Amino acid sequence: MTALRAVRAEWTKLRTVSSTGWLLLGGIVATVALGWAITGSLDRRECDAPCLLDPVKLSLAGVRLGQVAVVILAVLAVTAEYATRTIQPTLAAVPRRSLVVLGKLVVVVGLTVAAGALGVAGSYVAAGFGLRGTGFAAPAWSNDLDLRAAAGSTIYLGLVAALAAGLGLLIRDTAGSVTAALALLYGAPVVASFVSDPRWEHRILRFSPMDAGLSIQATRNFAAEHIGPWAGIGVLSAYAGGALLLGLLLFALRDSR
Amino acid sequence: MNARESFPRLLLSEWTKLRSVPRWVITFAGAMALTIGLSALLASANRTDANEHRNFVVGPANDPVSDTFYFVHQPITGDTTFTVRVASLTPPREPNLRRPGDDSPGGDSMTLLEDPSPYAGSAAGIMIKDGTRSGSSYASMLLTADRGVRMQSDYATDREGSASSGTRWLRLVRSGDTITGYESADGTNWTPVGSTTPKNLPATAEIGFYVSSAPALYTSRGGGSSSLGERPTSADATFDNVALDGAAQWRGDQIADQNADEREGKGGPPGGRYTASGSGFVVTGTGAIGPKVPDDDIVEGALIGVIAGLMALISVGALFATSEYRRGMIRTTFVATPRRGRVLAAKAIVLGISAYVVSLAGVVAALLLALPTMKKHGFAPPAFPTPSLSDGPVARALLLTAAFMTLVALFAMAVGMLARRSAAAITTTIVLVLLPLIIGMVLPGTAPRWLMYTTLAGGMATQRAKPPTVTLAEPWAMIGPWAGIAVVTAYTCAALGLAWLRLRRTDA
Repeated sequence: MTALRAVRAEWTKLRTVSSTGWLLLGGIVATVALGWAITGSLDRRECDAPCLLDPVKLSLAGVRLGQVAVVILAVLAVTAEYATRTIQPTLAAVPRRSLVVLGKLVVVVGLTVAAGALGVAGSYVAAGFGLRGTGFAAPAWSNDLDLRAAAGSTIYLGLVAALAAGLGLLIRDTAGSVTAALALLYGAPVVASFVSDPRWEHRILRFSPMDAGLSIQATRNFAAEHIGPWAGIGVLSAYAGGALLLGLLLFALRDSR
Repeated sequence: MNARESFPRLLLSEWTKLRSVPRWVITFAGAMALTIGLSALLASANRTDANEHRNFVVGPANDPVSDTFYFVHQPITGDTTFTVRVASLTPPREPNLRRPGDDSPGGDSMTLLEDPSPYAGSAAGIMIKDGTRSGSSYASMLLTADRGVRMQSDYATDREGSASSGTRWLRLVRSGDTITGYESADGTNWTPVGSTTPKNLPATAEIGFYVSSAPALYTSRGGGSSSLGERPTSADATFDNVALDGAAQWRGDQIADQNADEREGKGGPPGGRYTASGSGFVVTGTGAIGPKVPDDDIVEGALIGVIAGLMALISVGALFATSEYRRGMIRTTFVATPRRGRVLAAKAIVLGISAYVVSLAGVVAALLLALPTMKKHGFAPPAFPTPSLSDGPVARALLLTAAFMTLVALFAMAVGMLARRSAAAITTTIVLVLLPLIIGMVLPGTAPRWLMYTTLAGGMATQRAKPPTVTLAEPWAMIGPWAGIAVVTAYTCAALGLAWLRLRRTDA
């Protein structure tokens, strides 16, 4: 039952820090608000025929902003222990380091998925209001593709949490880890839009964690996506898994400062 | 200790703090290495076929230009005076293109792009030109449909005359190599518009009147993709009161790039025509006279790494402020210098100068390293004249890009002073720089322009050496470099001001 105890210990640590609640609340509000603002600014008449605009994808655009809260939450769950030196008592209580990581991962990813599901559901509800009168149909839970986009976005947020936690284990410094995670997520699409060779643009977007992972949000015009929905989730999983494995390895080998 | 000697000392102490933390020095070096490295690495990810599939001719300054119009002309030797009255100019009608803001349903729903360039639109004018070859040197006086009277020469010089439309008298006077343009409402009282010396005008040049009408640009954009098209247009004009010393027979020619039409496999150049009617002439013309610069920008393409270097600078900027709070060192700092505004100023100056030096070295090296690779990938003359560091727009792009990076680092520092937490400061800054770019690429229409005017992302506009265009989908290409740097400066000043207020009012 040590695994369960490790999870419970991490849950207590995260639950009792005031920033956790604020971050999750802020993430949900930001996700819903951005989706609402974007869907409200659309107009069917401004979309030239053939109109390939994907209102469902745009109503979930807030995930791109809300993930910032997830990144900070996951990074802090790891690096705050180094900043405040509580890592030593933590390891004294649970000497098996893989169990510590497992505990943190379960709690952080679990919280993220729960908050992410709320944010995604809220985005769909907000899009229902935002898209009213714009000529576009609102996302529908009965539609398989819309459901896949919602579930995929939630999974995406969970994987981003895992990736950020992995980077935190690797870098052990809040500022460095947050910078690295945000640069990895946001940098690639900006670099891709700078590049003028379409083949390179395709390559970069295909293997960048955010764009590949969020291709599951598409419900139409699939030709514009650079990677398939589940393959894209796979790319992000590879990033998260790689960062976690490397982080775990270093965590196991290095002394805790 | 008086104030005059304490401030340099304060600068010195902040400089010592900055340079004595190995991690920050490494990050500064990393910012430079990332800027240069990513730029050099991704230089080969730029490619263009503008030189293979030419839609331009080479102008007198070896620049890509467009030179297509209908010219009614005759040769004239030496000094001369040529006067014409443009009786009327009928601009093209484009019933199938929708103007911005037109919400009427139905029809072909392409949206017309309003091109603000003085070389766009339709014009009727008079011209003296080096022969009838497309792309040769010229000087002209022209009456445009909606941009008033103008004097232009060699596809690069444009002088504004009166804002008249409809009917206008135009005159060109040649004296040696100098051409002077005049305009008049009645043919009696003449106003000079300007003088110019075309690059290579021979003693015997072609002189005459012409009509041009630039292709209409239209766009459909949204959902992350955009498409752009052109449709040829044609305009009609009536000329009368044609007065030329020693006039002989007039001759009409379509000026066009013959090679382009052979390459495209079209049956000859687009046609214009002229007919003599009474004492005047009715001319129909199509095509544009002016610069035809490809949208891709070498400097912007060579500076891909800026985005990576910026991330490193943001983290140094934030840490330079927050690390004082993390270990409580800020109290020692304030004991040494109780005047908090001065501490903030010293920190900003030290960080600003260091970041500017690192950024400028980074962007200059990135451009020089990326250039040879980009040249191999099609960014070569004549479509892309090789940029030199002494070119005005190139120097401006490099200096302003370094300023953009510096101001963003200062913004991160100010937010660090306000939030006192590095994670919050770094995240706020990165989100304000990058997220608008990402959201902007998904938004339809000109909505991204407003994001660029209101967030730090607007600073990305500093990287373009070429002017903003109406035909690019990249959000930052929608505003000019000075607008971009103004937005970032405003953000940074506001953040520094708030940090100063907070430092004065709150306990450390």
